[in-house]
Amino acid sequence: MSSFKHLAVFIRRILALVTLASIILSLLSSCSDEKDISLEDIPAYCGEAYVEINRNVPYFTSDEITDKPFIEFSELDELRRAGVAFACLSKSLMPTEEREPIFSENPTGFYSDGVSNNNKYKFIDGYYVYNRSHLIGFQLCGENANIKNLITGTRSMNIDGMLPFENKVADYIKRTGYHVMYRATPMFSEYDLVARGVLLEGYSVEDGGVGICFCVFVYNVEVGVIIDYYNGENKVDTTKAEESDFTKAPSYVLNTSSKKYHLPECHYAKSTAEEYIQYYTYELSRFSYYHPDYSPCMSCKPHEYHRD
Amino acid sequence: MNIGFCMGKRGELFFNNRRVARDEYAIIDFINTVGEKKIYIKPYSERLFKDFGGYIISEDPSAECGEDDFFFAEGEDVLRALPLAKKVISYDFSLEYPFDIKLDTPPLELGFRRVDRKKMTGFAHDKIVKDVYVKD
Repeated sequence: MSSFKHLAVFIRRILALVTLASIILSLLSSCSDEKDISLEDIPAYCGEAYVEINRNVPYFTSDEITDKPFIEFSELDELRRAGVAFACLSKSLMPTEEREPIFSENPTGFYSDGVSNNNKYKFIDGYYVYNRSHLIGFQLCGENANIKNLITGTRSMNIDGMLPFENKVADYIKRTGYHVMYRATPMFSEYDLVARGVLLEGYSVEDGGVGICFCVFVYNVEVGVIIDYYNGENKVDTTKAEESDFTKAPSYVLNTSSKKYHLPECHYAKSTAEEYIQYYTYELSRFSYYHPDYSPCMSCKPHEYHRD
Repeated sequence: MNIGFCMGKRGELFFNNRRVARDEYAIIDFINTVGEKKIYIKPYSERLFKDFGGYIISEDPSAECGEDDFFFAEGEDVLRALPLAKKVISYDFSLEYPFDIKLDTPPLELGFRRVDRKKMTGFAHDKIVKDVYVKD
């Protein structure tokens, strides 16, 4: 009797999984012909790094979905802008070596008239407003200094918008060995050199989207900075100064000489020579991500006080 | 009731009706840590445990869990069960993930005291931070 019960439960679960996969597939097929999305369809930025598009269902057609790994980058357009990057990602495409620097490649908008637009702002972690942002992250495809895979992206877009999705897909592929359809579509307004954002789609092949299924627009914005998307020039947004992070008191004080971090009130922080001081005002849970080489002061124990 | 759960670096739990990440290493460690105590899970979590056995599937683990038993919670269940728990085992995958359900209030701000912390390398994650909290 018990084995019948187990069999029934097992069958019910299999049916549930099949149903879920078929629902996703039917959603895919019902929405796949409708990919005619333009910037007018994107909700205005309201503080979140990304927004769901098409109920989080990607626009891949059944003809596009495959378990044969590939990566395709668009040719640069007449303005030398990168276009759609499309891939069937797999373990075999993931890099086996450390990433090299990519200073040799400058996506559109990074420079104007030979002058770098990559301005520094005190309130941005890492200071620089722009990253050379991969459309398909290096950790997923091993493509690094490839200008067809790079756009000028803000620090926030790169770290808060693109990276979490790349992490999710990379985890999934490493764990399952399955394939993931992945497409990053930079969206430019007319002749702008800097994209307004990236439409990012992902779909796990073997399990029919059960593991990975998303369709989001990642905004290319940086709070507190006004960006001229036409040429990439940028300046501080003084109207947002009251709300911007740069008006916040620092959460931690970093000693660049000792590589220790402190609470602002710590007497070691106060006695640090000015030339060795840096302030950290960003999200505290991300401190170790940005500053892995720093250790907490054992006097004020900043790591025990903060967790956001 | 005691609970266990996994999350991203910022407390991310779910995105688009899916867990943000998983790692069998964390599950094995959780089972070993729990030892002889019962583990209750919801049907959605069975895929995490099915290779290891020793779990009880329940539609309402919070109600069925004995005082010393564990509920391995996911998604909104973490938010609901956390204030009711007396012991918490959390696994932080140390990476950022997209989310629409997130643990905004960490255990330390819910009256828990951290009694243990271990860093480990998972099967799909270079760094998993395991924290054990108790409520006095």
